[in-house]
Amino acid sequence: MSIQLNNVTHTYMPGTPFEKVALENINLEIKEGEFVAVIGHTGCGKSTLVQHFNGLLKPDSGKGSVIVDGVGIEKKTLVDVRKKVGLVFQYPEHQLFEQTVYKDIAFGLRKLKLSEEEEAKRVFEAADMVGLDRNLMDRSVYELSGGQKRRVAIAGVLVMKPSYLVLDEPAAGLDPEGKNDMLRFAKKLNREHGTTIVLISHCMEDVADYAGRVIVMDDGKIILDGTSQYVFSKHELLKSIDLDIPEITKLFLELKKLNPDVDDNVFTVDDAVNAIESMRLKGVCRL
Amino acid sequence: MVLILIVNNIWGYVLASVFVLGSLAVSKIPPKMIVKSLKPMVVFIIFTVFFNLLFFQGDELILKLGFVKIYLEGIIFSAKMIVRIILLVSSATLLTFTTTSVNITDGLESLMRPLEKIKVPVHDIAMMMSIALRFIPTFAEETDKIMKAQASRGADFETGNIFTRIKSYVPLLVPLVVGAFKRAEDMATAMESRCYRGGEGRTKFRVLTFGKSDLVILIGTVLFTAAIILLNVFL
Repeated sequence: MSIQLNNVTHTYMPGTPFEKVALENINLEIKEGEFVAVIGHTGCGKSTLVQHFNGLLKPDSGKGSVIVDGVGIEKKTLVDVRKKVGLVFQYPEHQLFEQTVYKDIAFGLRKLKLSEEEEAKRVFEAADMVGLDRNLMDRSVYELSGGQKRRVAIAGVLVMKPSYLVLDEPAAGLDPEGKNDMLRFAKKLNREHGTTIVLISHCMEDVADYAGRVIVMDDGKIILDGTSQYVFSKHELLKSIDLDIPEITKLFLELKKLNPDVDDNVFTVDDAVNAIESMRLKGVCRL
Repeated sequence: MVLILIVNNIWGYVLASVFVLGSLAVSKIPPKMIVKSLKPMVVFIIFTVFFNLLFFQGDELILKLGFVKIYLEGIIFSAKMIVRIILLVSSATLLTFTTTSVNITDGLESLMRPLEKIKVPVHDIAMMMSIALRFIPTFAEETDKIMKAQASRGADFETGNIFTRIKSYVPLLVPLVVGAFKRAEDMATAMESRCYRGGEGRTKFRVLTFGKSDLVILIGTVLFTAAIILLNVFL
């Protein structure tokens, strides 16, 4: 069970002076249960890539295919694929339109023709998952705060019970509290429900903290793909494509300049604690 | 462009074609781009021709297939329509490819200036026009984004009969309109915080001047207009 991309190339506005190759020969497999982060600077093709996962964009004709759980994306399979792969865009609160929060979350379910109880059950489940207060259900979506609106929008995707969830910068524009909530919820979904998470992010600390696998894109190509430790250890390469590494890693790289015995394989605060502890034991530093 | 609509005889068409083709040649727009701008009109042209051929009633019957009667006049009329549509579209293309929207609205503003005497809010109209033109691409982008977002959570814009299809556009239109209002508000705040207070006493960054080429075009246009009217009246 996986999302598979075989030789996917995508060109925007082919045959015009504005032609732009956004993806070039992408081969990728995202397995069920993974927590994957996609990083790369603006315009590198991240959003174009994830829009292939649920068939919003198609590979250039004759070039490549996208296969979700063994089924190729075609017109006939599109509805099923979109149920399996949920995609939350940047600033998803802009897509809200119903009179009440409840109705907006339930929007995707209407096509499924569920019984009223079943529908309510799934709506409340989705709301609980994103931490949305049940008292808000009958409010107008336009009365909510920014963070609450975003939760409603994400619940509107979760209610379809996707096995893959793509989050395009879910934390953009939220306060630190809201941001941490978003990421914790993604982690929980991944752990407890086995939902595959694909996270697009610009915040390297978040990526190091949460993602098991990191995909680095530049200019329509995947240039690195591996564990966060592996990817962030290539700091020279990341720097050359204008990407950052976690602040804590930078700190330990600086420390290493002072003392070559310092372990620079530090990517999260937990890593740092362990590294300092082991250095203390080895007598590299005194605390 | 308006002139093309009042042309009513062969010589008028010849003159208008020469004028438009001549201007296109002078404008140095690649012919490929002009052909491309005509492409979306093909369906429209076929549609027009089809109905004109079927329903135009004349004297000289050319073809009769059951209840379908095609008259010579119908054919001539359709041919005229084709030429008319092509001329209209290519002259509109000429305008948009050679003149930026800012220049068009600036030009309109100064042309409408005399109307200020009778209390027409010329500057406001021009400002509204340029804002409207400016936001068309933004609006298109937003539409695309929201359509994709709704499709991702199960919206379907393509199947069903006409009523379900119209209904299926509600999830698209509501966020779009809300977004447009919000953007308008932001825009107003941004303009006010830069001390915008209407056209009174406002100077321009780009000053349009009336040059030699403008004079040539003005004379050319006046002559062309006169010629078309004369042809219409006397032939």
